[in-house]
Amino acid sequence: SSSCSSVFCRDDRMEEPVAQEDVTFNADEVNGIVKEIVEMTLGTASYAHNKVSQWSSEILEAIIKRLTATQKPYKYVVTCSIMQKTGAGLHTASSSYWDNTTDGSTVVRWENKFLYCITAVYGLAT
Amino acid sequence: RKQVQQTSYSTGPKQKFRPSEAKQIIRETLKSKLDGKTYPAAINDAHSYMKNIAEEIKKSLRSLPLQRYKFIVQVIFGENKGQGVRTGCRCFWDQDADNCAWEQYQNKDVFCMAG
Repeated sequence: SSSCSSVFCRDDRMEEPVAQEDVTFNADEVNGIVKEIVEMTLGTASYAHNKVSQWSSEILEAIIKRLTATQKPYKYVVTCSIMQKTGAGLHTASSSYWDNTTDGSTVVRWENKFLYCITAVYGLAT
Repeated sequence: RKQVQQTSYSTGPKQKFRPSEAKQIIRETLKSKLDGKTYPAAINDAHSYMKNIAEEIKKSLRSLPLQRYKFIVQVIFGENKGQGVRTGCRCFWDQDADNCAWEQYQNKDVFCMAG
């Protein structure tokens, strides 16, 4: 820190601007965050109609919190689908209009004996 | 004589994204693509159904007069077998400029959500 001899002092420390190369969507990091949170919330739970909305909210809030804590200049959209295992098929698809160099997405599929959980995270650089 | 400097950049979108317009587009696309369809037996058919739906919705959104907007379209498509499904969405964005629109479609054999 700089020492001031008068009332007005000049701080010679300058904020390092974020280099353009650092602004990329790190899919591996996000995958790790999502897997950990889903495992922690659902674990070995079986599908319970009255609990699903609470689980889904918990997962989504926790993911957003962890993503924003990384302090990256990104906007995020996170979706989570929890489905009961009855032998029915489920597909998801997405189409995006964004900047290929900085934006990205990742989808994490998780399952246990009773349900599937599909979580998609989209990151858009600001 | 005082000189007035005018800013030459815009801090927000000139025309905002209207969810109601987007919902209309999504509803029409889902209806036209899925009316009378059954769940495809082959996985490749399901893939092409959905890619088609997602691309159509994105193309229609791009034809709207919205500048400087990025779009994400997600489609969830499944067989209607009486199972329970719950889909949630959370976003971290600029509340003034950004928004989302979700629509769902269901018939005897399939259900589909797009947003």
